[in-house]
Amino acid sequence: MGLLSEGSPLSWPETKKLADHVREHGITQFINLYNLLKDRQGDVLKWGDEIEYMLVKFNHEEKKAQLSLRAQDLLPVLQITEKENPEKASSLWRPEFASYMVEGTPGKPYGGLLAHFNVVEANMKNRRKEVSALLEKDEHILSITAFPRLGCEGFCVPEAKPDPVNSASRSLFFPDEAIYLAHPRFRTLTRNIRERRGEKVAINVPIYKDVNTPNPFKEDLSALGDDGEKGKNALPDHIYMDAMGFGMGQCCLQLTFQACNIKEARTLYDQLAPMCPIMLALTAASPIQRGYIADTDCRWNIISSSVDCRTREERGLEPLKTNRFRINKSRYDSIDSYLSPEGNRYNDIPLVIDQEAYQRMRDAGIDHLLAQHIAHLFIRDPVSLFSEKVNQNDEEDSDHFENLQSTNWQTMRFKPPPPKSTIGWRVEFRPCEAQITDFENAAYACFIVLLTRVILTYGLNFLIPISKVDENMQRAQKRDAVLNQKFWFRKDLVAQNSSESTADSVGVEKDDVCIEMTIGEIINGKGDEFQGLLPLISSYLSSVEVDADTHCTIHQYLRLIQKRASGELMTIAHWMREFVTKHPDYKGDSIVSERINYDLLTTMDGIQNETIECPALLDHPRSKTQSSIPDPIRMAENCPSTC
Amino acid sequence: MTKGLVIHTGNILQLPDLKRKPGHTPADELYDALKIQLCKTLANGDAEILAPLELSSLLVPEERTSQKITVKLFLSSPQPEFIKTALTAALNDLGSTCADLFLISWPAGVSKEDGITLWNAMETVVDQELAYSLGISDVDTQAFVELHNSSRIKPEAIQINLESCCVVPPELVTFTRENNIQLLTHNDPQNILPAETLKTVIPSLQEVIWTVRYQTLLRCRGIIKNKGYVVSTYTA
Repeated sequence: MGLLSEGSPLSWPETKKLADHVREHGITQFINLYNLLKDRQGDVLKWGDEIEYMLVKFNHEEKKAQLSLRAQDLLPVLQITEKENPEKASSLWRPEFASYMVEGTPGKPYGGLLAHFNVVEANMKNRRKEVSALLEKDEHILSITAFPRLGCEGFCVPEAKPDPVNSASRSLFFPDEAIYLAHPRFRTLTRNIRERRGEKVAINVPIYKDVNTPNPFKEDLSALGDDGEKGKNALPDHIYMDAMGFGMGQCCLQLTFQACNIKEARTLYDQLAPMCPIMLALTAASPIQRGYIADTDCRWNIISSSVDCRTREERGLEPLKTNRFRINKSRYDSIDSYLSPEGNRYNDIPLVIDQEAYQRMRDAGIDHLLAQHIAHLFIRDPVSLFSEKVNQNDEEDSDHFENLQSTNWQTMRFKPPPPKSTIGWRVEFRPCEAQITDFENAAYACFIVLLTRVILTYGLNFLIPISKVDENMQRAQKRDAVLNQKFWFRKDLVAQNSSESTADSVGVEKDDVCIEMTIGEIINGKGDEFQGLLPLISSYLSSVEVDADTHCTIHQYLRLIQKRASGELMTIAHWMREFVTKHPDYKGDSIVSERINYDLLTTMDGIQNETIECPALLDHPRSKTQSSIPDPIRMAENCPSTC
Repeated sequence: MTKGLVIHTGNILQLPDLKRKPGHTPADELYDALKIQLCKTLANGDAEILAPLELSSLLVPEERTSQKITVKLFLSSPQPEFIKTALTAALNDLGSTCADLFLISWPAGVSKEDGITLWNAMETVVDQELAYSLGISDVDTQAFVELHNSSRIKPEAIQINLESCCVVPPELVTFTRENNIQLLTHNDPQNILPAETLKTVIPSLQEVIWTVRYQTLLRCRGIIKNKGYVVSTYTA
């Protein structure tokens, strides 16, 4: 969840008063960083994955699975090696939004050798082992995106009651105890987002209408404390949720990689943006929400609504009076503009920017595309601020910049180097949902990083109008999008455009740069019309030296992607739906009972620890992952050990 | 009456048609690259066909240290005298004086004596500082162990053709591990350019003598900058 400033959180009215201060200094800090680091060159590829995990407690007598609210007990222990002996830490642990979540990353980034792809899964396995060693009997760590009965009565242990009147979220379903309270940031964010918005957040996910689902589907929430006001935003035929925790309490898989310079970072940011919806659909893993089967497969729109701090004015429901802008999207959403000169012509959606911030950056010598990107992030207010961090040295600190940067949760993130560090310009890829096994998470991670190498090697161009990327984002979340949807994708990845023209001057031509294809066609190719991404990766791999174990592992990863894309293997979302609807306890009413939830999660746990085989999801994976790179490879590649 | 003809593909990463039709075997890739290169009619009497300027593989001098150069040689018959010629041809295309790794695809059915002579010629290019290290592909485990034990300059890499399976002879795994040898994979056919195939492009072709492939990789960044072939033939 980005940077965590420690200290005493300010109230929303205090934070609001300081919003202009944070923005003004944030821009100064960015300008300083930019000027210092814009010419930084020659960084090698370093990359890392970031996985969020859930702690689940199984009650085998009562056949219950509950979220275990023990992250605050585990984290101090998990962080001991990092604190005492950072060089030796093989993984790093951070708190996440919920008190049943932990976030793990590799202790050091992976490097730019092909052989590094073979250590990713081993690192993930080791991470799981570190946590497992600290767990109680019947407590397990799962890398699942959505806990099926999140927000249902008794979903967590110790059990906690929601408090719709006094809690940070005012939720009818989600108690404050399920928020990670050992750090003040998360509760503060919850409260400030609600107060800024002027009401609690409203999340409505279409329900999957089965044979016995009531029509219309409408819940009686009075038993939970709804007095007619607290559940008023619930839509019929939707699963209604009303707290930040329903979104930020879901898990995902993210990747960050370092580019060799700012230009390459901008290129990768743009080129990967059209991949976000494709990867979201391929990793879909959240078809069950608050105990009901949803008619969607992904978490994205849910999180987007769960942190939507826009006021009614900003959302266009009331005339603008006290607010500065009409804002089209939540601060958690897909990106709104490309950053590279090649991408400029495809910037075809309206971009709301802070004009003053934009002008200051332009005056400081920052180009139009980067300045408008930052000025767009800076239309938001800070939603979390600590009294100790209000006054900063803009020459050395970047907290105010990071404050807004890290609370713009978009599909891609463009990351400047932190001040005074050896880290270069980086890009973060954020759409993927967390998968059940380390094998799958490693496969998707390696696929994306390999794709970046292929893009840079062949100079490929994936750009399409950004409005089409947004269309794809919505299609990606539909039920079984891999099987049923088509997606806009650039039809000729090889042809380059001249970089000068702008969106206005090429209105006609840009309409036919892309065509609609299935995910299977995009990934695996479509006859003579489209070569497919996997064939490009294979071609790349046959042109580099790969050691035998890495070759074997990558081959298995790519086969998973290939078969998931073609529909030969199920997405996790599809598999979960099937598990529930075929369960003997399921009554055809969209309800995922406590017992079904228990059986589903014990099965997922079994698949993860390889006691249950699930060929429909995974085939029979046998990667040759290992914890370190063979010496002769390291020596031959002439890379320092950190590389 | 035969005469020699050497063909340079140049940097095939710059060929749009190959990016539009990827995923071929290296043999298809080479054939396609030659077809594109030779679609202009052959001028009679040419001894060498150079790549067009836009496909130049020349490294900028300051790029040299950041790139790893790998060269792989495919001989049609075990003739050691072509080893240096072929390597030099590849290095000339790159404008470099030395390859980081020079691999030889071991000709099928080569006798023990011929094998020794071949490897001696490989060692000589290291002596002459045309290559830093040597490797070999498509040799069975026992022959590899013998070669390794008897050679003056040891192979530092062995390439095996795995296709899609993951089975590596366990003795080879042990031997490479104990001797710090890179165990690499490839998917090159033993005969990367059958004469019959090339005849469909150059009807006057009589024989392919050798084929050499070079590729350069940006160290620690996993980006390939150059990939090209040089083919030496006899034509009528």
